[in-house]
Amino acid sequence: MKLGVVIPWFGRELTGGAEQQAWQIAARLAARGHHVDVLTTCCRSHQDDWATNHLPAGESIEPEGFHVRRFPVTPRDRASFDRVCGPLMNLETQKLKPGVSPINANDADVFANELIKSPELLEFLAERRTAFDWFLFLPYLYGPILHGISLVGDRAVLQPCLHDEAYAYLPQVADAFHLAEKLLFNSDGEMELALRLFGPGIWAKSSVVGEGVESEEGSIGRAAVTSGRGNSRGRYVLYLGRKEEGKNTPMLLRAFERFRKARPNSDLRLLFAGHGQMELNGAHAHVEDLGVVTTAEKEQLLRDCTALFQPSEKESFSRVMMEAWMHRKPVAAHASCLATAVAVQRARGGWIAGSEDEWAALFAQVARAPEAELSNLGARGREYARALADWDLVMDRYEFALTLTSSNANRAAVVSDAATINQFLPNLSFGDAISNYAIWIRDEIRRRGWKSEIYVRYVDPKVAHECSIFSPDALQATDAAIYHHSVGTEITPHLAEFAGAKCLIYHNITPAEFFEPFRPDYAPALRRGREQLAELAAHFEMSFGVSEYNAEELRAVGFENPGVLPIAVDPQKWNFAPDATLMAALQDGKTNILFVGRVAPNKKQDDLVQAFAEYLRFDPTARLILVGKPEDQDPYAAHVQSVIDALDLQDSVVTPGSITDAQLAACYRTADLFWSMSEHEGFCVPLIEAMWFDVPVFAYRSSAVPETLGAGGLLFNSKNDQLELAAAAHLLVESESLRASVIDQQRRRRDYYLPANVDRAMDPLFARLTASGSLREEVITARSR
Amino acid sequence: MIETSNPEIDVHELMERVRREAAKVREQNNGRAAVRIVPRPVTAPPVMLPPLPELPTPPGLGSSGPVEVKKDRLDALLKQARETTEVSHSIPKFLRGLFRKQGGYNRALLDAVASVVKTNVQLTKRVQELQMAAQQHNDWLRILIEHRAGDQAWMKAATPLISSFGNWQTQMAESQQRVQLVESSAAAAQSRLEQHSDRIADLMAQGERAGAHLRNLQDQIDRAEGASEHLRNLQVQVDRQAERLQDYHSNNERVAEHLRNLQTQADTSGEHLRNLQRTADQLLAIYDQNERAGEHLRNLQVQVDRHGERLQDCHGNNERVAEHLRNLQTQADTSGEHLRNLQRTADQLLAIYDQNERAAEHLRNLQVQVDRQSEFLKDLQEQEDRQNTHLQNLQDTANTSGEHLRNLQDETERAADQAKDVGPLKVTTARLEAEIQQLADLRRTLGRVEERQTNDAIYLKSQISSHSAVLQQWLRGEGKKKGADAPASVPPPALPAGELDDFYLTFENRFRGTRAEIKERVRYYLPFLKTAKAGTAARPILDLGCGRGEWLELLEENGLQASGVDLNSAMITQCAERKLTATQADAIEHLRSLPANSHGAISGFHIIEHLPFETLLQMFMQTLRVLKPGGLAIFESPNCKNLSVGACYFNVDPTHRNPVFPETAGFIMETQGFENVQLEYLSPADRRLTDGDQDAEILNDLLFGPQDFAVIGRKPRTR
Repeated sequence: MKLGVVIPWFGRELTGGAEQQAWQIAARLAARGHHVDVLTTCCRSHQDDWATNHLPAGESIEPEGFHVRRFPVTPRDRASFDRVCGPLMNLETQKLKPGVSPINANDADVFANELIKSPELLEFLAERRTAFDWFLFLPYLYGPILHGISLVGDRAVLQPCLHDEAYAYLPQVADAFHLAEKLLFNSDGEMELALRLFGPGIWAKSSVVGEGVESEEGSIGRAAVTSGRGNSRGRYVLYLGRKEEGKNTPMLLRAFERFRKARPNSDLRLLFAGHGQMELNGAHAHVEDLGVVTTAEKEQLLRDCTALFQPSEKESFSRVMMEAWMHRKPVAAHASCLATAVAVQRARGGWIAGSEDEWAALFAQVARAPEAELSNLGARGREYARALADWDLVMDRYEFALTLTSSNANRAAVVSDAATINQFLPNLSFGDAISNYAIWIRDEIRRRGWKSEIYVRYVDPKVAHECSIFSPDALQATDAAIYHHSVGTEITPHLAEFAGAKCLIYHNITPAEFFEPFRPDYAPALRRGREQLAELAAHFEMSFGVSEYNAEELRAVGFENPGVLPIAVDPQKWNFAPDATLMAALQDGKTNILFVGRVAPNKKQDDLVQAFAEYLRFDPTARLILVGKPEDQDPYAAHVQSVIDALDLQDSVVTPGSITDAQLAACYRTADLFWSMSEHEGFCVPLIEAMWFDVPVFAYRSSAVPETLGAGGLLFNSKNDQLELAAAAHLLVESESLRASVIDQQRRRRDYYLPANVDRAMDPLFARLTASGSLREEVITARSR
Repeated sequence: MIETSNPEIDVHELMERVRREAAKVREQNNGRAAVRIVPRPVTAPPVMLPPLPELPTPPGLGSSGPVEVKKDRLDALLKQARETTEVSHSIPKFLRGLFRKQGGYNRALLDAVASVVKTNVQLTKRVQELQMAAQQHNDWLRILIEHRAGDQAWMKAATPLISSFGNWQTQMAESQQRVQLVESSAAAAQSRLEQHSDRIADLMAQGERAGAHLRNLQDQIDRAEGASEHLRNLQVQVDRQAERLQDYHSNNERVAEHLRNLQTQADTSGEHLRNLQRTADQLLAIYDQNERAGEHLRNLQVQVDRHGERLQDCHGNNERVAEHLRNLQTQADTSGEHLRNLQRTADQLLAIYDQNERAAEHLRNLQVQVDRQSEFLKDLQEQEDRQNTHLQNLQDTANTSGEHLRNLQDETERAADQAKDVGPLKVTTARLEAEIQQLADLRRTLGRVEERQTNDAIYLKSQISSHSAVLQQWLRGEGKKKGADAPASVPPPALPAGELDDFYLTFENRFRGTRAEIKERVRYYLPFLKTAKAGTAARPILDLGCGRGEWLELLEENGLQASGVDLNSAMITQCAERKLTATQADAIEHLRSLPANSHGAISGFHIIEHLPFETLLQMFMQTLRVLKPGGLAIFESPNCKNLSVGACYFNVDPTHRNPVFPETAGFIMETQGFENVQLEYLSPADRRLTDGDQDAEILNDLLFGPQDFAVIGRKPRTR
């Protein structure tokens, strides 16, 4: 593998996290026999002037066996940059909203363009793109990274080293995340943050590689001997790192004072070690600031401490936490810091605290914790740290992430002239679930090297390029046919009579009763569709429902052994920036309750509006968003509107009508609850989409809904007491623990519908459809008899 | 109620929490219905009413208890007094008077006391009545106080509402301000509108100027027509020249004939000469022989000398030989004469050649003259192009103005939105709209004028090109004429068929619709072709009666391979100009010339209504033959089921024969062997009767139904 590591500053002696990491990766991959070129600038370090070339341009080889190519930097408009950067740096984190740029577009451009600049480096990337298997960009900010990713296209791997800071909210950064072919994260928490900022579209290409921590246990022994401090300190909580407001150390000190006040007799002490000043005022007999310590002293401190506290809210990967765990010590992390809190949660190797009170309580908890409990937590932490921070394992993960897919990058389709599998359906329309499903199946068939077309009777002009108009000629006895049945049309008899290999996929038909009060003209067609289904049973040996619920209906009307072929939902389809205007508008602090679905009587939007009126008694400023395009002049849509009007909810119920994908993504990204009152669903794709956006689902138990949700979401089996429904919905929005538990299950459930998983279910179907010609002839002759 | 298979959630406990929460809310709202008024966001601080002074509770009635009447006691005392004052009979008489006096006094006293008692009783009663009244009064006051408290509560409740009234008032004030703003902006809009109407007036003036210019253009076109008149004159001159040329030509022919004769004679003479030569050669040989014979003779002489006897015989021989030589000499003299004659003939030929040269010179001069005419025509053409450009510019200006007007319109509409009630604005807007309408009309007129000009230009161009073709053909014919076709086949002076072609092209340009319109209309058929997989190199498309080639162009744009055929040369020229493949030929003849099973689709738009029935049958039959199995035939024609089409518009085109009834067309196709024949109805008229009753619907179907139909059939696949 040939790898280019792109980083703005590079050098053995540089201390920045990303720079250190780049050095380690380059050296360790070179040691594993890979060719590594580090592509960097002639600027010496982040602290130096970004427009000065301190180092000579050109190529050199490091003793570790990798190459370094330096490219000159060019002058930049520092005044404009500083004008933009200053306010950006001082923005409060609470004011930042995912998908909303914290500054205007012009300023964002200035920021992205006037960072460190090296046109020659970019030229090199553009020209030598194909000479490398992958380019690893790190960290996420800075010109060569933001601009370089688009130049190398599908060979870009971004290792962002992401923090929750204002820069991460710039649209150029979002573009970099969406454009990169792969994303590598240092920790689970960092990936979690990226998903929160950029949505589930990046999920499939993301993986956590971890970051190695060098901990030589041998050196600890020596340190113990040389250190005079030893165990004389008794039981103490350790803080390791810079002492400054940004790291939240003053808060830690205040929390400790509170603890001391509450328990003046406790012998637990608090020790600070690292750069920076600490105002101890001499009043704290139990607090000590050791200042900067040597590596050996640090090891000693870690070995002897009771626990390590990490109160910082801005970490992407806390190295000291890993080191403490390596020494089997429990760790406390700040609840507001995703990276560290998620690590503690996953490792189950410590505690999480948010407010000053909680930290004070934590000191008390540590003070009286039995030794067994502490060592238990420490042991679990060590296990986690070893898996994540062991350099060998980290490098294995790099190799896995980079080489595995590079060989598969241009996966060639198996060309076979043997088979054609065509699909037939009444109509193809833009954005409709059945249409998307048919297009996906066609692509799957083609990917397997067979021919496949979609024939329809009616076309939506927006998708006309995807299909052909049905004519009886399209049914050739030598080809196989997949027929999607919902309501019957004039093409149905042709498919029934077709003698070649074929199968029916049933998408369910809404029971006519739903439409009777609103669209009595629809009802007969729906009824006929169901009658037709029973008639079709004799004509199709092979049949599938998109859910077990649908398959059961097939069985009930006489189909033999119907199979289940679920609809695949690929989160990668959301790999784009959501609509920025809507993102800003919907993150105004109000609760957003979302429902996505056609405005139709079976979906029961009217029930939802009424239940929402009750919900407002718990949360008067909440907002209900009903996404779904109603047909023009549709009586049911008018009914829903009249319910909204009667309850005087025009200001709190939003019905945006037909919206773009970017707008829909914005609705999902900002939703606090997905609430469905629908009484008939054959599958319900929006449920799975909501799961991908980590929106808790609250749904009426009907038809295929419980099957699709699995253990995810919360179901309710009665709509009688709407106040209680509203109370439950409110709990799901407000209760952090309930929400977390529901989302956790939803994350497990959604995987089931990943294309890779559904894909495997398709194979038996294709195998039967493309069975040898003789078999098909047998079928044909058997039929004609 | 709640269900989940999430193992971490305790449903019972969750339901408990839900019920608790619900109960809390229920208590707060005391089971009120869910209907509520959603408070509107308040922008200004609420106006508070001054608090009402609290009412002091009314003092209780300060009575120290009920009044004791004591009537009984008074009565008893009275009785006792009476009894004690009773004068007994034992009292001596003299004392009786005294006692009586005393008794009278006592009675009076008793009576006074009795009346005091009575008064006392009355007073007591009165006091009790008063007390009761006071009590009632007190109760009433208490009720009053409660009412006041209620009122106070009500006032408190009403305060926010009243404050929101205050807001409404400020809002009203704001609205009023806004209305004023709107009014002022309306006034501004009004003034802008006035400016705009000035602008419009300007534009109108511009339009008028454009009209004037157009009239100039028309004049120029008239002049161009004069030029073409001139050209026609030239044509006559050329015709005359051509006649003269013909004369020259026949002269030449004769000369050539003569020359040919001469040549033949010369050939014969040559032959003769060659014979003479051969004879001369023989003679020379004989001469040699003679020489040798002389030698021999001399030898013989010697021999004669020696042998005198034999000499005599030899001499006789010599005499005969000499005679023969003399004859030969005479013959040679005759040949020379011949040769001189030949020389003379050649001189004559040279003279004729010179004459020819002069004729050619004259022709060249003519050519120069013609070139000059073409030059002039080209200039005219250029002038016209320039005028077209100018027109285009005018058009653009009009468009820009239109754009500007539209912007204005938008702005006006926004202003109108702001001030829906500002009446005059509407009127002004209406006026503006009317003016815009007028401008649009003007633009349409411009468009029509431009189109007509284009048509005329096309007509002129085709005229010019046919003229110059005729001339060039002549000139070329002259160059290679020597000994070729008979002069009778030299071009006819005019092409009546071609004239008609140009007429039909111009006609279509005027009546059928613009290229873009036609292309948009026929786009409908693309999916059918896609399904039939037509348009590949193996399955090309043929368009019968391709006309101006809109369909061919559309097919080409969609990457489909297609060719057209049309009888009309002007149409073919149009197609050729657009680099479209089109052949000038009769459709049926062309179909006959094509191999069977060679095409993926054959189309014919508005062609079948031009054909006699037999020809139509032929066309379908040939189409079926030429199509590949599975191939598609599309024929579009006016839909006579629409009465206004059948009765009226069908007759717009004088070359239409009779409408083809849709079902009949389908039937014919089926009988010819097509399968899956379907009828598609297209282009319904865009206006309808909107009364909505049944009669209107029937009339709508009859008058405004689809204007065209297409019959689409497929050639059966061979099995």
